[in-house]
Amino acid sequence: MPVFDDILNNAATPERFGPLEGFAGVLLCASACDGHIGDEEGASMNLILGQKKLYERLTPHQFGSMVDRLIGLLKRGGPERLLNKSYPAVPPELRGRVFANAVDIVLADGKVEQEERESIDGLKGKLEIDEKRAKTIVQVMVYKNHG
Amino acid sequence: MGIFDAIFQGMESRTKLTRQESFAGILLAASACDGHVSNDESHQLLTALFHMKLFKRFNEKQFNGVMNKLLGVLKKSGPDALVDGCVEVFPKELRSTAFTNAVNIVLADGVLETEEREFINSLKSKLGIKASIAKSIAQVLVIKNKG
Repeated sequence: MPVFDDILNNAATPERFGPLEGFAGVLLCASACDGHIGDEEGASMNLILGQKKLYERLTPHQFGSMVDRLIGLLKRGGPERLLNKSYPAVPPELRGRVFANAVDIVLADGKVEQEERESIDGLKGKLEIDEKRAKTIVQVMVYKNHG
Repeated sequence: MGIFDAIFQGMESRTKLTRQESFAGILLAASACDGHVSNDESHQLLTALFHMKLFKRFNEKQFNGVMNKLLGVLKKSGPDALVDGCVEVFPKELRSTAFTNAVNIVLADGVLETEEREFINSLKSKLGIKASIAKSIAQVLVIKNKG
């Protein structure tokens, strides 16, 4: 058995996400789904997370480490993997909210790339958002980010 | 007739607002409609404006010029009069966008004051937004800005 296996066994096991990481992870994937995080998308994400009561109890340091950890996972494993780890951790009552915020981030630059369309569609399925509700949310975010 | 009337003839008493000013004016009025502009509201206001193609070519000095002019009108005449001035010259294709961003701003701090509710109702009529569309916009943004 390699020498570090015993020691690193626990450390290497990726921790499961809670709602805080799940929510932020989904939004980070939304920012990165066209291959990079644009300035506007990054700014939108920070603004959105900074306003959420969900994160009120975290100190700026804790908040920063959480985001760093998520960015690390994103860089190493790509958005799809981060998303698959994040969305199951979002509790049902936060699913509509995270979807609305993700769509807002994707549309923040006033454009929608093919990958972004696909990612919104995929996210709708993963979060089990009803078709009609998803359409209303997307329409409102198009209004918001138009012009 | 006043002695200067002949000299002032042909000069407008107040310069008309531009498209950019009218858009920013509506959002500024939304931020200020409960009597003060909270941090979250001013963040949302600036983020919304900076994202817009409408302001892409504006440098900091021009942007500050717009805001100073609008703040002057706001202080002198109040948010309702500011909206009235803006609606006069408002580009039709941006009405839903302005309304959506105004609702987003009043919901930014997570509290909806009576003055804000009244402001949004009156803005809906002034911009000619259909009741059903206004309702969808409000519902989605309540979901988005919750907690």
